[in-house]
Amino acid sequence: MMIPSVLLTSVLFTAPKIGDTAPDFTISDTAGLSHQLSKMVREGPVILAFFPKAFTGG
Amino acid sequence: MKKFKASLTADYPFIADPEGQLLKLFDVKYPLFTVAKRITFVIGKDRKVLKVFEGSNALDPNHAINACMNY
Repeated sequence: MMIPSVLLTSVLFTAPKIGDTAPDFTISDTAGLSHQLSKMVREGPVILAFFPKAFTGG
Repeated sequence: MKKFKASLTADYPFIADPEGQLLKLFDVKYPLFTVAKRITFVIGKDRKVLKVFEGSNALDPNHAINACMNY
């Protein structure tokens, strides 16, 4: 049962992988400050964590 | 959201992504489902992806923090 799910994930899931170049973005945070990825990586590694539906029960 | 951030005493920026801008950009949604994955990227110089943590590995921030220490 494990193999089909791995295959399905690898075929349909195209997020950046190790060695890929992450897409650049500029976005505002909750304090209204703007952040651009290409600028932040100059100061050191950036951790970008996705927390889906952080404010829901889901 | 601000309250939530304060409750975690986090010293890094929080981003709300109601339009899914970053989700689409990084394609961290399963195409057949409406839910996004819990996923953490460590991004280095020139936006090169150094590490990717998914699912239960993404729950523990120490993995990502340790990865940063190596660069």
